[in-house]
Amino acid sequence: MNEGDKVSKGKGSNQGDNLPRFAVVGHPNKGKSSIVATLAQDDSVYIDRISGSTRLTRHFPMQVDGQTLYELIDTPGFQRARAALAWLEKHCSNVSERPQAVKAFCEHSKEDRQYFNECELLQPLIEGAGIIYVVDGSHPYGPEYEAEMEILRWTGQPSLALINPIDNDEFVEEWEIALGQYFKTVRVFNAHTAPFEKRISLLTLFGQLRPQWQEPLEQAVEILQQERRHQHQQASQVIAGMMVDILQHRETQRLPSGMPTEPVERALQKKYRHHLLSREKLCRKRVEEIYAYFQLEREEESLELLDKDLFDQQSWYLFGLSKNQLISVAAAAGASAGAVLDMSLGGTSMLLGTLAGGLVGGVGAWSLSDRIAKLSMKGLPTGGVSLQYGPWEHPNFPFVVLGRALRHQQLICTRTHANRNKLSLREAAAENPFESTTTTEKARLMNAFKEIRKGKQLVKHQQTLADIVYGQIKEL
Amino acid sequence: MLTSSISLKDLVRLDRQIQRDQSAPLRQLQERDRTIGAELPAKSPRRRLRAWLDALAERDEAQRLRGVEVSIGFWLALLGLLAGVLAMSGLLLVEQQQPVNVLLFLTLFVGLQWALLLLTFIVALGLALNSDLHLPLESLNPARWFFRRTFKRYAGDIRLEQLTPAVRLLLLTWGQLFGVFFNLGALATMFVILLVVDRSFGWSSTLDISAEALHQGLQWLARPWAWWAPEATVSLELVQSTRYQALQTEFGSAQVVAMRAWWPFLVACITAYALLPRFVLWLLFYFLYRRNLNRSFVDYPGARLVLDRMNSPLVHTQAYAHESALDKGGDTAAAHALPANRERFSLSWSGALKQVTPRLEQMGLTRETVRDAGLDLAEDQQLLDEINRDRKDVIILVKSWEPPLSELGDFLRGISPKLDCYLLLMPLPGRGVKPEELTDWQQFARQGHHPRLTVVSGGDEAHQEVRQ
Repeated sequence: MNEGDKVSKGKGSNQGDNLPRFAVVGHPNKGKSSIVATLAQDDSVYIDRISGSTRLTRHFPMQVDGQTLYELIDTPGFQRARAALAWLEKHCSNVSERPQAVKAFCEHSKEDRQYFNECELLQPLIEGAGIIYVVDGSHPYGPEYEAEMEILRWTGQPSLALINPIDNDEFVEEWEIALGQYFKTVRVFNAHTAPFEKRISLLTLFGQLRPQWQEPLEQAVEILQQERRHQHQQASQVIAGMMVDILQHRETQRLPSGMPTEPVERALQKKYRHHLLSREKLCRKRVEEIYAYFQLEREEESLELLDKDLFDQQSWYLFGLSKNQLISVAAAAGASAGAVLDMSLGGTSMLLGTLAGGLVGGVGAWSLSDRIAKLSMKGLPTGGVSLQYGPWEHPNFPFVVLGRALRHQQLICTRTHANRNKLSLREAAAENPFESTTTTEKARLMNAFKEIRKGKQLVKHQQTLADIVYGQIKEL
Repeated sequence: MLTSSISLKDLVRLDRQIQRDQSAPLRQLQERDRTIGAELPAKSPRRRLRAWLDALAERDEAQRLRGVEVSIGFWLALLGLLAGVLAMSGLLLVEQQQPVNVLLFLTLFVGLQWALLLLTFIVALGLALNSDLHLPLESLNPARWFFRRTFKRYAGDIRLEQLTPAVRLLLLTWGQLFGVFFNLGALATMFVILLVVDRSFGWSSTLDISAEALHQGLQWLARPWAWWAPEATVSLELVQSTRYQALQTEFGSAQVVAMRAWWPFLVACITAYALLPRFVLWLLFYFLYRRNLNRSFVDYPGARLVLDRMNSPLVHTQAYAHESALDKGGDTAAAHALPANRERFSLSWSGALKQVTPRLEQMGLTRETVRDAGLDLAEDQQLLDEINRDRKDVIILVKSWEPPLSELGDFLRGISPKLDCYLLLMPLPGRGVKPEELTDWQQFARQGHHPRLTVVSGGDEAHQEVRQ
């Protein structure tokens, strides 16, 4: 018994024999572990294109506050299916005794290394687990699969087959015909691309293998859906927190009179950027943790590089706004601020506030500086000067930071735990994250950014940001 | 025992704990907070958050912060009292040869305080409207200076002031406390001075104000208490008789007596227009501060995440045991080609030979010369007998896309170790052998199923051959 087995039994098998358990079985290297990794949201599962990466049975209990609702079991692939089937046929002639024969085979071969894999994968089935048989839809059906499917039939356990099109779906139809002769239910499930809804519907399907499994699986599905909404909310809170922190950040340094300011300026700039980068990194890590990614490798261009050209089509526009968009949003934001003034004056200002606000906002955005932030200097009453780098100056900067965070969240959210590729923000940035955001909403964002920059009502604006981000996440 | 009210120290503790948690692994936080949350009976979010904080925050930290708020209030009250004493002493004792100008007295102790009250009202209105109006006046609040100094010492980097309006309300509360004690100090000093010193009050102005006009104004001021304390009002005669000139040094005895009659009115003015409003505002701001503090506690950035973690069931779908990557070994095999012009025993394992490609023909492999294997165990045994009897090289065509299985290993072990064996990887029609497939088969070849086993790529691409 491995450690996972011990823990899962000790910690959560409080439903005894009624606990729905599903053993993912099949030929080696057909994506069994990928399917388990995706369904269990576990990126620690070892997945390799080389066969035999799973040597031992591994248990993945779905637990809610310690109570297990169901359990997935990853198993090693069949190695000597024909020989095992021959043993079974030799020792059993009565159809009704086939499950007993399988049990006898495992007991007989317990000490025999020759059938180690067969025993490992059959043991959960003997203990009552449902069968999830996995094949690769990108490779053709072959006669060598028949023996293993026959053995699974001998166990008498409820079963379904999954066609995992690892590279392509060229042979899916062929497999559907072949599997249809052994399994009542056959589904296509790509472990590397399956969206959340598909994973959920698969779990629902698992519940239909046995009537008594339906209720716990429905309960599990409901909890997983709640958990998903919860993850989105948490991610939006984390992103909003990062935005508030980055947008009001500044670095200051006091300097005695007569000292050269240039070295200090460079040091402040470096410290400022270091803070932005580390804060972004922290946010990325936290969002990944929220969606249960703990071993993800990520590659993205740092904000430092993007500072070269704030409107570079290849970098900033991927995440932020174009100059024209920015001008219209700034004008809208200015106009909305002016409109508040007009309303407070009961309309006696003849909408001059709205007009002036819009004009000032638009012109302000048009005549932009080309840096994220700038250095300011003020004299101190006690002598010397105080140098300050930041907060941000460029109106596109907060949009870029938020756009990058949204893009990252989207990638994480749509990724499966079977995917072992590096997460690349740049490659995936096909669509600007604010493409579908209305100008009014962008103006609302811009006003919130400005208020945060001034350090005003941070709690309120952080919540506003979190609400907008949550809306974006739901939409994306 | 938990108390329901939240103090500023709780906000500081919350801020610190949230900062600390930022770098901790999320799974750890989820488990910790759910454990705490599950043990608490159903309570309001504020109580739950407070209980969470009590369960986590360090005791000595709470101990240090306890009383900071009270001590700031105490020192501000003392400072206000002292300021009141000094202000009143200064006005009443600096020039004893001249009567105290009532107009100056009212300007200092009522007018100036009303101006400050008006600005306080604007700040409070701004806070009430949530417009975050910061007036320069706020910077003048002595409470602000105390707050910054004291809390900086105990709470380090103060984010609270920026994050919550509760702090601004606290500063306003302390400002009123200062004002209450300022007026109490002033009144007490006035009583003491009047008791021990004979001070006269009169009125004088550079402007040509008539006694009637002034009397009317003063009557208007005294309206709130005139009906129940008529002795604290001033008559027209008193106003007329107590006017004096700036350089006047001689006063008639009747005038001197009359000049002593002003003080009840002045005391009533300070009480009604300075002390009482300050006291009412102090109570009001204190109430608003407590209410806002309770709200700020739950709304504090990061607090919602904590409550979420406490209230949401802990969902765990992953395995508990971690597995390690397999040791794949290094690729040390040498390149080797299929033997030319030698007799061979060719097998197609599990139907690997789908079609004969030009490359296979070059190798001398045709449909007729290749026998089927890997389908029936008894037939496999017969083939093994033939192979070992004929003693030819063995070429086994295998599906490159399928992983090598142990049953093929069993078959290879059945072949005499003196014979050369070749595994010819057959790709799918139109495709080549993938590098990972080749690696997979190479590893299989290294597992010792046969001592003279070689893996050969059967794809049309530049082939790669490896000998075990």
